[in-house]
Parts: sequence; structure tokens; C-alpha cells
Amino acid sequence: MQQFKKMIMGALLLVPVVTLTTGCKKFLDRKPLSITTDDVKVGALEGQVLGLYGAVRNSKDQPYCGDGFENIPWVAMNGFRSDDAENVADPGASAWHQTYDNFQYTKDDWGAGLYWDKHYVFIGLCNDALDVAATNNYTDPASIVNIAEAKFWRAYSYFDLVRTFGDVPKIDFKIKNPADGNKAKAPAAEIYALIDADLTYAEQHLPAQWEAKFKGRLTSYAAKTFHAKALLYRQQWANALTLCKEVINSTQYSLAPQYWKIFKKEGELNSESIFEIQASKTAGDGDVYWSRLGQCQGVRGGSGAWDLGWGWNTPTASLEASYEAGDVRKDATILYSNQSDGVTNTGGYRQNPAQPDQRPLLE
Amino acid sequence: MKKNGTGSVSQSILIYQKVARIMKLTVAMLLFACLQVAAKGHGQERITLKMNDTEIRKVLFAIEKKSEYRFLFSEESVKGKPKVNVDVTQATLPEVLDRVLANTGISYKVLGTNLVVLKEGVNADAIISSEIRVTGKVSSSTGEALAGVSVSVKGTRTGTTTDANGNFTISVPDDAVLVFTSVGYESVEVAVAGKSSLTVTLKQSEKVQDAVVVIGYGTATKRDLTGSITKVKGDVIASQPNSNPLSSLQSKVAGLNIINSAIPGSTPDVRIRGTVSVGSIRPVYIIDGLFSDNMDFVNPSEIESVEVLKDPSSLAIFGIKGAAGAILVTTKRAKAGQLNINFNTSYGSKALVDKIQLANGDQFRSLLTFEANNRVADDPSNNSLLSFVNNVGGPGMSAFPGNTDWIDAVTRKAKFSNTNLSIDGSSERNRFHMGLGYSYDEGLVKHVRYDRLTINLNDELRVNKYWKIGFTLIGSKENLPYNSGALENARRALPIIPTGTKTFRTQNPYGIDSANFDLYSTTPIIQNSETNPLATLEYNWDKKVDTRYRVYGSGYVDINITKDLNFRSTWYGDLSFRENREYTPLYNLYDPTQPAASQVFAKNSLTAVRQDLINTKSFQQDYVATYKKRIGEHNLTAMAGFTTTYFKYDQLSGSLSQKTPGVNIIPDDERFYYLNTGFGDIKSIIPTNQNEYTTVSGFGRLLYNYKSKYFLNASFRRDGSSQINRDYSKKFQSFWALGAAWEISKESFMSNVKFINYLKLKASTGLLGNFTAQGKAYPAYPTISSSASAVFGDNLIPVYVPDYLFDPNLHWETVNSSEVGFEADAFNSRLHFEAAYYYKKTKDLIVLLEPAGILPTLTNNGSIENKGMEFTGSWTQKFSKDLSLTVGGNLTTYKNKVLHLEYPARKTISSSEQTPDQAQTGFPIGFFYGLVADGIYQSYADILASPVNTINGGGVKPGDLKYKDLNSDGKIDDNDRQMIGDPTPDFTYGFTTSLKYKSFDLGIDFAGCYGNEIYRVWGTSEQKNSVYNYPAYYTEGWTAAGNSNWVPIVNQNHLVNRAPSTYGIEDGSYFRIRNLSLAYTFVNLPKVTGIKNLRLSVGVQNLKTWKNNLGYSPEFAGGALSYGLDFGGAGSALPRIFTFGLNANF
Repeated sequence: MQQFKKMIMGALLLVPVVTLTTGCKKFLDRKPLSITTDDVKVGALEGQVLGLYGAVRNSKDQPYCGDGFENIPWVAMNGFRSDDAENVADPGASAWHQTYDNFQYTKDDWGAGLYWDKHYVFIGLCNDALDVAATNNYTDPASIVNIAEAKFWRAYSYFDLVRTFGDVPKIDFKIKNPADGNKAKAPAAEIYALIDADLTYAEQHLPAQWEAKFKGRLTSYAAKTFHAKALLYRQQWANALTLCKEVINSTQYSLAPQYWKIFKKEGELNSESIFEIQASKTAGDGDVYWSRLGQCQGVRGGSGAWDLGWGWNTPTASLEASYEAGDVRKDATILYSNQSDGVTNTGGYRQNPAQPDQRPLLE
Repeated sequence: MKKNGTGSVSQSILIYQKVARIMKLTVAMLLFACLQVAAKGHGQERITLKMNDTEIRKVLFAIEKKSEYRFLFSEESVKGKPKVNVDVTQATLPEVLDRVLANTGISYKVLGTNLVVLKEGVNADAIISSEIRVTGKVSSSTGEALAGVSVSVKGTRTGTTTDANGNFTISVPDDAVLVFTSVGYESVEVAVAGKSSLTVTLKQSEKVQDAVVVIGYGTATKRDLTGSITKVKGDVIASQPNSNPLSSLQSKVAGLNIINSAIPGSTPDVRIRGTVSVGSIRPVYIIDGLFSDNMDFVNPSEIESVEVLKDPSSLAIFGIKGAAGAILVTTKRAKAGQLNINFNTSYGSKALVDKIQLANGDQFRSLLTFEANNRVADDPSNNSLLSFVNNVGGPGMSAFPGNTDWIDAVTRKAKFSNTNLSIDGSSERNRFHMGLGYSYDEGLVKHVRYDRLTINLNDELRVNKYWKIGFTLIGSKENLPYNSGALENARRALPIIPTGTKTFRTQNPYGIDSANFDLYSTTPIIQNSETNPLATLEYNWDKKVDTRYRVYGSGYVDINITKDLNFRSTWYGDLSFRENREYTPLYNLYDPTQPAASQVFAKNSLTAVRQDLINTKSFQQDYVATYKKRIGEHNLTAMAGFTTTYFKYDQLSGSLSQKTPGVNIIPDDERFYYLNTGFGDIKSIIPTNQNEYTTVSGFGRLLYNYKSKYFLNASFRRDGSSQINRDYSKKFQSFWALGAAWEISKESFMSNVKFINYLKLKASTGLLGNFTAQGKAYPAYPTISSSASAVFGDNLIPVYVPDYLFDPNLHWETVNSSEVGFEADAFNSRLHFEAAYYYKKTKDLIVLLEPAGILPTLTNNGSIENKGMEFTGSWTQKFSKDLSLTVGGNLTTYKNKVLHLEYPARKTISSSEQTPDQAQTGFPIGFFYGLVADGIYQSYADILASPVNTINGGGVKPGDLKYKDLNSDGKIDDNDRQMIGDPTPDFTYGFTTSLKYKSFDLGIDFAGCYGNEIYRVWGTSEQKNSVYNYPAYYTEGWTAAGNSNWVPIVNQNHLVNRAPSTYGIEDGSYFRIRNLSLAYTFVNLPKVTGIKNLRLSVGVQNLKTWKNNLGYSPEFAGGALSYGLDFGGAGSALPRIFTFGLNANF
């Protein structure tokens, strides 16, 4: 009996002891039951640079850069404030819109705050990639292209900032300590100088073309075109014209034959696409690789049908009136609430596949 | 058989000899009994002793130690006698005693064999007592056999204790008086008076300090502890009509602040001694030993007691889970020696009180007309609202002739019911308890209902003197309530929408035949972000099946290795499984603005099903050794243990939807509320996650006291957790606490202070841990998102970006906690009073630092301070045998301050009243940050004469709110914001009065809080993008110069009025009659009924609340950083509940 008791007792005491000595380390080693950076190969530089293409569109996960580049804040800054857009579809929703239309937003407003923050987060991602290249002294041709891509994206982000706010802090280095990011505003001219420098580098080092699997990746022509746009904002017409002519003369691009298709899935990366943030990868991908831009300014439906989005960014009457009668671009540009244009649930944009596009050429 | 018996007795002798002297007599008796059988001849034992200048007492002890003689004497009699010198060799007892007791006036007599009685003031012949063997049984007033009761001879230190069945045997002089004492019971004295058999009943002590409280990994008498533990008895919880037991603790415990929710079954917002973190502030719930996140599944009727642990001395033993406090739940067990069947049932009726006041149909129409005109006056192009009002381009407002009180339309008188049956059976070896419970709790919103079925089983088998094994099983099935948001929708819905339905002959949306359908109206175009609240509720409430099963079980082996040393192993498992199924039905609404023939439209044209399977598994094993020892005046309880936990959560969710209207419709039948039924078109997996964590911990505690006067508690725990760090050595963190107490009332200098019966000073300090990491299951493994994958054409190049960066030195938040206080009884223990000052400093808050331009970094940064006082008091007055009154109360003060946060919680200053809360260095957590309203601009002249108002874009007009230019820079901007409110109350309090008259019990509980602010969000600008119904007070809005200086002009577009400001601030103080109950107990019912006693009760909860805000109630739960915000949600609509209850014991 006593012997038996001792045995049981020993066994009971043994359980924790065994767990302690042999199992503890293993027992406490719990890796996530889902993907981590340890489980995937993240390229040192190229991975980061490719990530910029996704980050600019990403409104789904951290760091939500897409909120600054194509969500409502972007529409507010670049649509509401313009002369082309006015009240949103829901009359009750007009108040917030109005603050942007009337330039009454403050730095702390949700939209302005996100716009600012996400642009700087994106610039941070660019700077991180450039820092990787600089610290590792990457000089191989592929890395040079990656550097050029990162510089393009940095310029892209700064261009949004400078044309929205004017003077903004210039962060062109990797922030290692949070305090490093507290910089005074730099004059707009200095920001433009950075944009010019970055784009010039990109023009020189980006390829003119990519193999098919990288269709839509940044090219030197994209850099030139974007640079031209940045020059136009400073009335540097001649320089802009030179760059544009280089793009035109490359004969790599041509106007799309059917204007309405530009706004459809099939119009992605078409012949006139020089630089594009794709709206979707393939149908059915949901919002993962989907642009929030389409969703937030899609026409708002009344009662269920023809409900393509949130109805922000409604065109003004003057924009509507500015189209000449019969201009087919109007149907593809302006959709009307509760007035389906037929064909599909997502709108046909008054397409008429039977007839070739009557689009007037712009030359 | 006989041999075995003797063997075990002699073994116990070995043990007993090491025990305190109080046991010596028993030992002698037992030994005597054995030796009668075994041997003879100890009677003439010789004594050799040499002691100089020694107290008589010590000489006697020395003899006891060296011989089999046992002395029975009162310490008083030998005290103060001259010290003696003894030097004897091989002397007989009379030789020694005659010498020692010479000239002391003390005589002695040897009774029986070894029992020696000493008496003062009489000569030996006068000691006429003879030895008697007394056997007896001790039980509680409820008939429960009491084990471990100390039985001693009055005035001496000799005695014994009762065994597991309450029996004792003791040999004493026949004129002795026996004193029976037991922890938690009032002492009783019984004169032996020659009787050889005694039956003794002990009454439970009502003194707070005598209560046995459950502490981590053990129990202790409150008297022996240096911390603050409040025990709440189960009946306090069971008697209230709350499906969640936590709700019943409101205002009952100092330091425990509970903000209730009216959603049936939901967990209230619980904060113990303030808000300690920016992350999780939830206390740890320990249910019969198992660590849990909540106690929602526990049947309130099955709770024996709840202990609330608040101070470092009690909490350090919980390591990383201790910082936010602990709530220990002990479920009911069978009491020894009886069969008891209990049945109780209660039924209640709930009603909405303090309804928020909204505009009625006519008020709304006139306010809307005003606003529409005002918008056009501001901007002629802003005419969409006016078009609606004036029916431009078709019927608008005229199509909605309703005058609806939507809150009335969606609410009802709800019911509450709780029924339980429990059976306790116990024999010498076995104790069994079973409880069955069913309760349902309806919400005020129609169709909202929570159901719970529970079973509690536990059993303890005493295998032998050393071994006990047992198990506990709690099973529950909950039907979780449907939550449509109907009350929120009702507040927003325009009162011009009719509630009624209109009959249309139309196609069945499911595609089968036309028929007459009663359809609800749609909402007007100006509110097209909303739907008709009744339509949503009525069409959807029965389309959801949400069930949660939870099985909690534990088994233990408890071994008394020696009398002092106990070892207990417990293994726990807690499995929860939740299945949620939802169906999206097809239904039509009518649009009254359309021509009659085309009014019907499909609100929903595609069916869908969603299914969620959610599993949680939790396992725990505890190994605890407890050593309890009394050495002279030193009392020691040492405990050491080892525990591991494993937790896993996983969820699988998917949806099935229909692609094309009218094709492959999923039928509206619960049979098909699954993903794989053959109906529907598109199946997709809804992204969810799964995670697990483990902990390994060692812990120890020492409870020590000297003379039950000076107390010392020390505890330590070292926790290793899988989550916090990748590096094995950094997974571990240590926590400790040290406490001391001094029972001054036991000091001789206090013996003159007659009115104080008990006074104890206490202080403790320690380091606690907080298990929170910004909601990250794997803080050291940043989640990665592939949303940043690059897309080139149809080619997807996966790119994985970590969602945040992490600090390689990340560790759990720690709280330096300390308290000082005292406990006192006075005036014949009628008054009990406790007071404590607490101070807690949370360090190394885990935050996601998010500087502009880089990814957020998860790191330790920041600290918070909480401090305050707690007071608890009670007075019991017995007026007569029939009438007694108890008045009790508690009050807690709170002061919270964020000592450091690198960035304010809200980096951008909110322009919206929806987010007026902020946390930043130097201010209380979650404080309201905004402008100070200073009246209304009455005219343009007024505007011109005032500082320029630039808030929310400026552009102020007459009728808008004027704000104070706090920094006097001639401009009103964001720099003119300040702290305008604090959601943390200055103090909370509760008091209770209980009057007993014969068989009547009358109880009243009051609850309240003072000094906090509420931010009212609803009604002003909770949603900027739609027209909602106006609060009734908008009728007092500014319309022309001079007619309002507080409520601004009704025009949503005037954003200047929608910034966080004192306009939204309300006083959160309230006072409430929380519970009122009256009960009558029938005790002497006829035997035939089989009922031992029967209790009938009536009660009412939340009878009346005196409050100062416009919301449903003054209680607004939230998280660490954001609470006290009134969004007008259903959770704050606390009902008044009338109940009737019956409790019968068989």
C-alpha cells in the first residue's frame, strides 16, 4: 500500500518536473499559425521595391497607404477641391464634402490627416528601399533599376504633397529614430528639386520596356511623362514639351480606339497606358487587389440596383454641360444615379460594340 | 485489521509530536489508548532535568517533552510565579513537582495515568475531578459536519481537532469547559459536566476578518492577509435579475467599477482600481482555479462566492495576468453530511425607462423645412434638401405622412426568467453536487433574446485519510441574442416614415406566385443610408442562429502527505464552440414617392448565407504544494507551485451567395442556413485567423504571522510566455509582492480602548504584469500583408510587407502597485470599517509607435498612474430578537493620469464629435479634448466683434456656436482646445440597507458615481453623411437673434457646430436605487410538503436613476482609451426590472 502510494506520488510529482526540464523551451516556442516574414522569401531590394507597387493601392492592411492615394481622402483633395466635382449623391453627406470644396479643412481633419500621413509612410517605404541599396552598395544593373523605381515612387508621392500643400517637410532618408522625422517644412522649390532629381534618375535608369510578365511596370517613358506633368505645374512648358515629344516619338504608345473601354477591366494597360495603378488584377479578387478609387466615386444607387459605389465626387453641372453634343466621352465619364446605362450590373458606359468609337482625336 | 488500526495511530503519534503543544493532550490520550493494548509500565517514569532560573511553565513543558506526562493548567495560574531552579536525576514526578510548585500555592493531581491537573489556591485533595473520555460531533448551523475544529480545555493549551466528519474524542477532567473554535465560525464554550457525549453547533461568524477567502492557489482567513480582498456571497449575485453574474457586482465592492450593458448576456465594462493600460484592462477571471477571460457562462445561481482581488499582495501570484485585478469565482459544492435539494425560480419583467427624447413627425417636418431653407440661404446650389421638402420633381416629404416614435416601435416589455434545481448529496467519503439551470433574458428590442442552459457537476471522493480526488464540470449552451442595431436605427429613422405596413399584390420575391404582401415603407431619399428599422428587424431576426457551447472541466488529486504538507494536482480543460449561421432573406419594400403601380421594389434581391465556426480551447495544469505549520507563536503557510497553460483560438467562416437575382435562390429555411446545401452560387472563405499561446510558470507564497499579531505575506511568480518575445530567455518575467500587517487591537496597550474590537494596519507593494499587446496574438511575429503585392497585368507578384516593426526587447507591461490601509471593528463589532489608499504606476505600456514616415513599431513606451482611496463600512444593529438592521456602504475615489505617451492616442485633432476622446501625457486617460462653447453668434455684428472662428473651415454665420479664444490670440482655432471632460469619475459609491423582521427581509441597494463627464455624440454629429431624426431639444435651436444662446442653428452643414466642444459635454454623475427587494421565508411548513424552507421574494432593479444627461442611462462602456461616449446605443438602455422569485429547500 505504502509502496503503491509512493509510486503514484512520484508519478504526480514527475509530471511537472519532466515538463520543466525537457519540454519548457519547446512548449513556449509557438510560431504563428499563419504566414510571417520568416516563411516567405523577401528580396532585400527588389521585394521592397515591388512592394511599392502594391502599397500605393493597399487600403486593406497596414500601412494602408492606399487610403492616401486613392481612397476618399485622395478624392477629397483631388476631386472635391476641383471645379469639376460637387455634392455627393446623398444630400445629407454634403457637409464634409463642402469643407473640402471650400478649402475649409484643417490639418487635423480625418481626410487631410490621412492624405498627409499615408504619403509620408509611402515616402518612408521608398526611403527604406533606397537605404537598403545605399548601405549594401548595390550597383548591379537590376538594383539600379530598382533604385530608379523607388525614386520614381518617391517623386510621385512628393508631387501629390507639393501640389496639395506647397511647402512640406523633406524626408529623403531612412528614419531610424522617430524623432528624426520631425523636420521643418522645406520650401516647395526644394521639394520640386527633389522630384526633378528623382525623376531624372528614373528617366535615365528605367528600362523603356518590360517583358510581358511585368507589363505596366515603370518605364523611362513613365518617368518622362510624369516629369513633364510636374514641369507643367511650374509653367516650364518647353522642358515639358521636350519630354512629351520623346514619349510620343518612341511610338510605343497610341490612343485607345474605344474611349469607354479605358474605364473597364479590359481597358487596363491598353495601348495608351504610360503609367497606371491597376484597378484590379482579375475579376473576383475582391478588394485585395482592388482599387478603392472606383468604389468611393462609383455612382450611388438608390434602391439596390445600379449601385456601383459610394457616390463621392459627383461631377458639376458645368462639367456635364461642357461636353459637346454627341461626345461619346461623356457617357463614359458621367454616370447617373438610378439610371442604369444597361448591359451589365457594373455599367456598360453606353457602349455600342457594333459601332467603332467616334472619339475625336486630340492631336 | 486491528494491527492496521494501531499502525496508523502510531504513525500519527510521530506526526503529532512535532505539532504545537495544544495537541499534546490528544497525543497522550491516543498513546494511552494504544499502550493499554500494547504495553504497560510508563506510569512510573523517571525524570532527569536541569534548568536554572526558569519559569514554571517552561519547566512543565520540558517535562512533557522528556516524558509521557501531560499537564493541564491555566497559563494565568503559573504566570508571575517566581522562577525556579531544577536539578534532578531519575526523579519521580511527585519529587519534581513538589519541588517546583513549592510555595506557589499550586497543587496538582495525577489523573488516570499521565494526565496531571494543576490548580491554584486549593490543596491537592480538593481536586476532585476525575478523568472522563468525551466524544462528540461538531456541525454548522446548517447541519454541515465541520472538520478541523479546534477543541480545547478552557484556560489551557491542551486540546484536539475534529476529524473529517466533525467527530472528536478527548479525555479531560469531568468538570472541564471545552472551547470549540474554527476559522469562519463563532467560538462556542461547552461545559463537560460529566457528559461523555457532546453535540456542538457552531454559528458562522459574520465578522469580515473571520471570513475564509479564496486567494490564488489556496484559501486563507482574511485576518491572515495583508491585502484587500472583498468577498461577495453567491446569494447577492443570484438574487439579482442579471443573466451575466458580473452585472450584479455593481456598487457592491469598493474599487470595482462596473459599467453595465443592457444587451442580454453581454459582459459589462469592468475596471478594478482605475484604468491601468492603453490595451486590455480586463481583470483575470479564475473560475474554480481555471484562468479565463470572462465568467459569462457561469450560472449565477451556482456561484458560492466571488472574491475580488485588488492589491499587489493578492495579485502578484497571478503574474502577467494580475495587473488589472482578479475576480475569483467559486462554484457551489455539497456540504458535508446532508442531502439537500434546492429549487429556485424567478420571473421578471423589463421596461425601458428614461427614453431619449426625439422630434416627433411634426417637429421633424418643421425643423427639416427650416434646415432646408437655411441651407439654400447659405448656398443656393445646395437645394437637394429643399427639393425634398417642397416635393420638387415628384413627391418628397409629402409622401411620408408618418408621425412615428421609432423607439416605441422597436421596443417592448421584455421578460426575464431564471430557474435552477440543485441536488447535494454527501456521505462520509463522497460529496456530490449537481445543478441544472435554465434562464432566458429578453432585450428591450423586440425579438432580442438570450437563452442559457447550464449544468454544474462536481464530486469529491475521499479515498482514505490522505487522498482525495474530485472533478468539476460546467457545461453551458447559450443562444446568443440577435442584435439588429434596431434601437440605434430607431433613433436615426425619420419620424415621418410610417411604422405600419401597406398591402400590395405583388410577386413573391422568392419567385413563386403573386400574393398579397404587407410591406414596410422605405426610408426617404434624404436618408438612403438607413433602412426602415422595423423592416430590418422583422425580416432578419429569425434568420440567425448563434449558439455557443462551453464545457469546462477539471479533475484533481489532493494528497495530505503529512499533516502539514498538502500536495494538489489539478488538470483543467475549457472548450468552447460557437456556431453562427446567418441568412440574408429576400424582401420587398415600397417607395411611397413612386406612382402607385411601381412602388414595390426589392430591398434585397440576392440571398446569402454566412457560417462561422469558432473554437477556443484552453488547458491548464496546476501542481501546488502547501505547507502549514505552527511553531510556538509562529504561524506559517508556505505554498509553491508550477503551472502551465495552453490556449488556442481558431475560426472558420465562409459565405455562400447567389449570383443572379431570381436564379438559384437559397430557400428561407433553417435547414439551408449552411454553406453546403446545393443552393447558391458563390462560396467564399471569409478571412479569419487562428492563434495559440502557452505559458509556463512557477510561483510561491509565504503567509506568516507571529502571535496572530504581526503578519507578513510574500509572493513571487515567474512567468514564461510564448507570445512576448522570440528569444527564449526574454520570454520570462518575474513578479513579486510583499505585504505586512499589524493587528494593533491585540496589543496590550489597546486593551483599555474598549470600543475598538479589532484594528489592523496593513501595507503592501509589488510588481504585477499586464497581458496585453495591442491585440496582437504574436507580437514578436508581425503579421504580414500581401495586399501590397505587385500586380502587372494579370500577373501577381507576391510581396509581403510586415504590418509593423517590433522591438526585440519587448516585454509585458508592468504595474508597480502598492496600498496602505486599515481594517477595524468597533462598538461590539457592530461597526466594521476598512480604508485603503492605493497607488499604481503602469510602466512600459505596449504601444504601436507610429512616427510619420515609417511603419509603426510595437514597443514598450509610456506610463500611466492610478491612485485613490477605498472605504468600506457596515453597521449591524440588533433591536430585538426579531428585528435587525444592517447598513453598509463603500466609496472609491479615482485619479488617473497618463504620465507619458510618446504620441497622443489620436494623432490628429478630431474635427468630429464622434471622436472627442484623447489620451496624452499629463492628462487623464480618455479625456475629452475640445473647445469651450461660449454662447451663440446672435448676428453678423456679433461675429465681427468676436475673434475669427476658423474651426472646421470657419465660415460662421449667426446661430453658430461661439467658442472661447482660450489663448487670446484673436483667433479661434485648434490651439483653443483644452480638456473639457474626464470619463473617469471622481468617486463611485454604493450602499445597502437590509432590514430583517421575523421572517421578512427588506433590502435596498443604492449606487452612484460622481464627477465624471459624458460626451453626447448622438443627435449632433455622429454621422455626417445622412439626415437623422433630430433630438427633441433641437426645437430650442437658434432661429433668430436672441432666442437661443446654447442650442445652435439646425443646419448640419454648419460644421463649426460639430467640433468636439463643451456643447456635447454632460455631467455623468448619477444616483440610483439599484435594487429593492422584499422576501418572506416560511420555515415551519407542514412535514408533508417535504419543504424545509420556502422563500418568496419580490424585487425591482434600477427603480429610479437621478441623472443629468440626455441619454438612456448614464452608463457608457468602452475600452481603455475611449469610454463615457454616448452614441445612443442599445447597450446603455438599461431597463427597470420587476421580479418575483421563489426558493424552496427540500
